[in-house]
Amino acid sequence: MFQAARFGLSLGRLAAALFISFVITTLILLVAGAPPLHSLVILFEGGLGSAAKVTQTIAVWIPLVLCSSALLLTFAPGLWNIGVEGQIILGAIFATGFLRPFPAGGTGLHLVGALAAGMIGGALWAYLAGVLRTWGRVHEIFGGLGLNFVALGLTLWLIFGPWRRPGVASMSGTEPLHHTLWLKGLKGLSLNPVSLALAILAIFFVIFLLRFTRWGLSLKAVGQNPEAALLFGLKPNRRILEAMVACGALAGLAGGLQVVGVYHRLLPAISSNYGYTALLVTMLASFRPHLIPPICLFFAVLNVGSIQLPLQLQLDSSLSGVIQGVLVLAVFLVHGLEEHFRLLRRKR
Amino acid sequence: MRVEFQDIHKYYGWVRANVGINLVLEPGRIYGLLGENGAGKSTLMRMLAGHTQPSKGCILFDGEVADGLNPSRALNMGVGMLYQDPLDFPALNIFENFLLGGRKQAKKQTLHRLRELGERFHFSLPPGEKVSELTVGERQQLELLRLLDLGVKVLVLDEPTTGISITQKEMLFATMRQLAKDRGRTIVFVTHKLAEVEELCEEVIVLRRGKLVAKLQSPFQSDELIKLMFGSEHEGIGKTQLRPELGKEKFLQLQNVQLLGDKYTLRDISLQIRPGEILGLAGLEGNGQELLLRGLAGLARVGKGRLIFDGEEFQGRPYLKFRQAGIHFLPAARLEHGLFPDLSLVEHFRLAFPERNGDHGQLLPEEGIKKFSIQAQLSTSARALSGGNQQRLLLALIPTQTRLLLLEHPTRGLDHGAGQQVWSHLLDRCRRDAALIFSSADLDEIKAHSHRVLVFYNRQIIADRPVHSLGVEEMGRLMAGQGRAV
Amino acid sequence: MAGRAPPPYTPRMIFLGKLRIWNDGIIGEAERDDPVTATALFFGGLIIRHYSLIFLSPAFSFSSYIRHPTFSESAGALLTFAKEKIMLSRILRLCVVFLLILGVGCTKETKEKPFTFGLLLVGPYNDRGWSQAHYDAGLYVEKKLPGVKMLYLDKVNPADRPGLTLPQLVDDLVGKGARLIIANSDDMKDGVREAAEQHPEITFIHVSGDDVLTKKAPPNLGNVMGRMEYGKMMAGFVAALTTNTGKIGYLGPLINEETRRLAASAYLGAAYGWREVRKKPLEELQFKVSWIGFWFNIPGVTADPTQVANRFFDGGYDVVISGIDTTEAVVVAAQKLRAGRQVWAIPYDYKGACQGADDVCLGVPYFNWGPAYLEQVKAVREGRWKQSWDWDGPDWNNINNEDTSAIGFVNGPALSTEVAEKLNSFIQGLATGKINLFQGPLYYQDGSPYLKAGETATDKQIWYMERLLKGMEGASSPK
Repeated sequence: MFQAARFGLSLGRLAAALFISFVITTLILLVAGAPPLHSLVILFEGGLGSAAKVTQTIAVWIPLVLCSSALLLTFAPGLWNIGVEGQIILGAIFATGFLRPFPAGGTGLHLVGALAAGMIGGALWAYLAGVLRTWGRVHEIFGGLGLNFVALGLTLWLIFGPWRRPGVASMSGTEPLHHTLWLKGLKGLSLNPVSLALAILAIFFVIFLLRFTRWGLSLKAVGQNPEAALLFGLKPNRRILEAMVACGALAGLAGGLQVVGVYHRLLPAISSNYGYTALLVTMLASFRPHLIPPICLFFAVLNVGSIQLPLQLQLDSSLSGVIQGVLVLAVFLVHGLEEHFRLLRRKR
Repeated sequence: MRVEFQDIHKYYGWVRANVGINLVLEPGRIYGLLGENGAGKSTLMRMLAGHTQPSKGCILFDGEVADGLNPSRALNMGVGMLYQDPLDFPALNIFENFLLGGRKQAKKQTLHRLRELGERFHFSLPPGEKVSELTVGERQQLELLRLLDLGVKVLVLDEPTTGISITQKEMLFATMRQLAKDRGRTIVFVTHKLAEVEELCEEVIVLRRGKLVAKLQSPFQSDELIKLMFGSEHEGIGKTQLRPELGKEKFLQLQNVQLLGDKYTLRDISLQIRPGEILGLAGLEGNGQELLLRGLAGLARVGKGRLIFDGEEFQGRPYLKFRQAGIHFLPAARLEHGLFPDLSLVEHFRLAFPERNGDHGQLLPEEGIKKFSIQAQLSTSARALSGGNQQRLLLALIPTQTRLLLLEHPTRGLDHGAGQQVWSHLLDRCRRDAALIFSSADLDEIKAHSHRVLVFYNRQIIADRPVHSLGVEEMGRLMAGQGRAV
Repeated sequence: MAGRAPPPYTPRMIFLGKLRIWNDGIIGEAERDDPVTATALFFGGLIIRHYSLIFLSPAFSFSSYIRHPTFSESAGALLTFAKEKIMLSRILRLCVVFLLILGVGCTKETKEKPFTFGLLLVGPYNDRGWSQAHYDAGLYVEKKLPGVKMLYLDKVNPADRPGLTLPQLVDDLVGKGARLIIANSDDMKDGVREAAEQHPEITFIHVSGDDVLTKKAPPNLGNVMGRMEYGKMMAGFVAALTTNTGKIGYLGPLINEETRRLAASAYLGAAYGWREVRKKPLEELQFKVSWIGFWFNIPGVTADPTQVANRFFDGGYDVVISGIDTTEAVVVAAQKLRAGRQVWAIPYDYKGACQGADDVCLGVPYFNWGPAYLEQVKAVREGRWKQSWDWDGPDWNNINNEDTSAIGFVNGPALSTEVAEKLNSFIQGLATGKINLFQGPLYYQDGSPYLKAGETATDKQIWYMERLLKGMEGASSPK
């Protein structure tokens, strides 16, 4: 009963935020002289208007869900794992590195190995950020950002240096993988059942961990009150490291899937900013797992549909980024207004 | 300026910080504001300086009601506050600091004012010197000049003598006298050090548990002030409860232990505790009781010496080993340090007792709630509990095999009945051969329950005595640095 | 359409310069030593880039950002809003459509449509460089063939459109009715091949590619390229005739066969001008190539072309030949000129690239894709398209004829009449075949022979240039 009411409240809050951002977006479009509703319709049709579009949207949804659910694990102990972006990149690097020795192709086993390597890469990068936080007293935001920067640098170095295409020095990426090493989608579509299954599995796994295990509970406890957690003998530092590693592994999996399932090679922009987007998603969901899939879907639709704006209306596709930003701000606005009214009521 | 407090009340949730305070401060006088920690001194002064507003009642400046004070308005009206930690910019030099917080005037004029004020009070503050190079006392002087330049008429000093040298203290006091006598400033001197009050103040205001209990003229009687500060009326807590019998073996021993805290170090502690023994720690806050309790719990580093528990040496071991050996610590700030505000009771039980339904004789959450009469549902979050229920929850979460209990202010914020419940549970534990070390600001509580009392002053143990040889008043005197160590 | 682009050196460009300062933080030398600054700059740059690059980019103009016919026509935008109310019902319909897709899948209404071709541009459509040359060619086709419609999508690169792959974009264009798809970047090679395999009924042209030569191309994929070697020779020629210091810089993109070929051509032109016209020993000519790593600046990923150009000018190179898609070389040269230095630059790709840089621009070798596009569109529409690898040269009768010549060279305002005359006779020499610069003996940078004495290079020998030539400074291949 109580749970249902809370769920209703959070949905209501989301609806209010959506409404506000809709109004603001309409205003922006009006000022710019574009047909507001038409633009939005085109945007959403671009993401959901056909089976092919839906599969494209799902292809974006997959890494977003993986990273967002990974972030739930680090948000539980109160960590702002902004380094998730770098963890995706490391996942991609490790997966590519694993597959590079097989230019002549391989089997499904190689793919499993590549994804496992990706998870190890992401976990390793997250572990570094975690160690910096617990032992080096470097806040995870700064450590994470620094490591993101290093990860990007590492990618660039690999692409331009040791992993360059023969005779070519271009930032555009490494040699594509042999086609037997591609995680293939359904025929003619971008939908990739294996990736989809992994993403769904991941979110349920995270929910299970956080809701039903003592480990998940102790993560939350560390986030709530690190000092009390220490007194309760919950080893806060170790929990933080574990949460980081688990998060990094999932983010690395997302990176690995980007390589074997989407781009089939390593690119400088391999992470596609999904890490930062996932941070927004998780904040929008106020760390409630059941809100992650719908919000990710929304963002994925915006991401995929945005290409229609330049195609059909000659609008710039970054408008979808504006909508995302406005939405996040609107959620905080709604939250702030709620607090404000609660305080007012209490004063009276 | 004449300041008048009319029926001031201030509540923070469950805590009543100030209750019905009526007080008049006349110009040209130096007042001492005395009271133990948490008596409501700072709250009262924070209201005067506009940092917070009274829940009820009003403050009058020269007979006019000052509504809706905020720090800058209060400063405009002439109320200046000198904080324990000066509000300055360490990276800038003296002149820049003076310029930044001061009046808007030309640079030359500012420099002139700084020199002039400095000379008047015999402070040597070279304008070009970096503030980060100054001592706390010098920074205080700078802050003082800044406030005076702004033309404050009421000056509040919050424990100004901590951390400054004796010469600086004397200079400060001379300045205070000069300001009050020659310039008609109202000065309020917040402290809990009796000697300083006696030396400086013409009038003293004593607060206890949020109430104004006395306003006395100089000269003062130390005994009387102590009695007023700590209370002598015995409120009868646990009078009827018998102290547990002491066991024979010394199961906790400290041999010349040095404890390293974040802020200070406790040196050369030697102690012995027997099963069933209850040891009370008396002292003003920040004098070492906190560090001793944390050190015994394995939360502070042992620099030197040996800490022997049950025949095993524990110095240098991690906290978890202490906990596994049966040592349990409950902090004073229950919600801030002891509990997880948004987790439910069940979740607390799950976290505290890893082996659910194990055969360690642990409590199931339902039993725990019943046995400790916690008035809440299993799904209630810790935040929603009253102070008493929070403390009962913490007690319920102590494993049964615990042998040494370390409690900070076990009944702070609890009403009489709840306090008695806590004590009956604690005594029960001690009767089953656990030992208890607790600190309390309530000397009556220490007197009522301890076998032995340690008194802390100036970050040292200045007395270790059986409870029957130490009265509440002597305890208070020792704590305030007025007695001889034994 | 080119008129829609803002003139260069507007205040916006200056603002862009500021933005670059932020982005330089990522790889700038001063910042690189300080991780905190670098991180802060990186994050700041990221946020700014993510949400506002569009407003600040040189390719931006407000009217193009929001281009809607009713904007100029209707009295006010509110009127539009009223009309749009009807759209609400479409939103509801959309929800239903979505539900249907989940269950059944959907059918699309089909209409008789004009012939549509899609254009995928690697950079902004108004970049005053490579991409704009293609965009203008598309407009040329629309003008020449009424009833033909162009769909274009610009900034098709993973940095600008994260998360989207080329086959996905092709799906979109095909969904919108495109029957011919032209992809304009070397970078799209693998993606185009993949898309072509997925859509055998659609014709694909990969500009600058060689899949047909290497036989990797599926039958519906062709290649087109212009013989820019001549343009680059002319550029090198005027550079050598103009330089006072004898030092010529070449601002190179990434390293591959195409870029080596073009840099080498510029060198050959310069060497000819230096030795045969100015009669100076070749040893006194310095010709240096610096590569940035991509076709245009991707902040934080490539080296910054503005910095590279600056380094050239500061190092005494007084003519910089641009090999990249965008106009940084002329912009920097104009700045240097204002600072009192006598320097010149030669942009690339786009006919109008000199505009606004009157005092420094010696001329521009440019692509004129219009005729090739027209031919491809006609062939596909008439059903007579055949796979081919086209390497189209200039029309030697008039290299600037927009209906016949695949490449051209426009003299810049800074070109002296004297040099212009010599250029004319040089072009004449090339046209008649009297001058053939790809003739032996020529040696690679490492001393190994490229062409034996008297040997003339075949197309393949030119196309697959393995190294830079002897006499050129700079990396021949990735380090």
